[in-house]
Amino acid sequence: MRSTTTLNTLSGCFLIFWAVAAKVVGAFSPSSNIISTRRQRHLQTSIAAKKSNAIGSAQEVDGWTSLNDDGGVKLKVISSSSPDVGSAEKIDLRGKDVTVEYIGSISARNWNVQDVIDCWLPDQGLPSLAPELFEAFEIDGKRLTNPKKFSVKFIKE
Amino acid sequence: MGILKDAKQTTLFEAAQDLKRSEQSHMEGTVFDKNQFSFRPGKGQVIQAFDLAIAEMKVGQTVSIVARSDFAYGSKGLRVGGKVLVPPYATVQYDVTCIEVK
Repeated sequence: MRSTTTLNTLSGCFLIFWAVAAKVVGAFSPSSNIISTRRQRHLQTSIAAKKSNAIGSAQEVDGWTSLNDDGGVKLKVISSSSPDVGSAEKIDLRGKDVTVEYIGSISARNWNVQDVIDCWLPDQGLPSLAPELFEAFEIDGKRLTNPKKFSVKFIKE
Repeated sequence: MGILKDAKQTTLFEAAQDLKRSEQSHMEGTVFDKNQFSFRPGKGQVIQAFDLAIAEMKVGQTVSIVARSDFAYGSKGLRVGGKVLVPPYATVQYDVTCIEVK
């Protein structure tokens, strides 16, 4: 009975020692932290870059300005104010009614891989692994709708 | 993609082909709506793209907005009286003139 208790105490002490030692060594060995931080930064950067490249980024391209982080809405000024319709200043719209005239038309879908993953894939009820596969096979809008490339055979394989 | 069951593979293929069919039935440049109306921004009265764009506009200005489906009519599209005006997952373009703010 006594030897069992002693054994338990010893193994408990050993475990505590091991845990403390691991912490101390970890504290004086920053390389693992640096590597993981670098890796994290690399991952974050590549994800951000991928997302920004994928959707056109927030920069102005050919006069188109992205209005959100991922380029889902883009705006291009066609003509500035005409003198007979009020001020040319951007105004505070809070609590105000805005009157607009518009023409709505169908535009080219031009989905890249990230657009397919964000817009279409979540509605297909696929396993959580699917986005990685779509990314790995670079399935953008063109490939997705091409029956020769995104065929049943391709999906099966 | 071999992780999918047979039925699911066919469904996925068909869903992708639906996209292609919608592209063919609603060609780029097809006008589906033309109007003048008033709304209060930020109240969910219009598609998200409109709310985002109007905040950047000036009175009297005309802009073009291109909105991906998740900022426009999404996976359902826009139907009026059983007629499909905007197919599911369509990217839409609006040419908008801000007439008045009051």
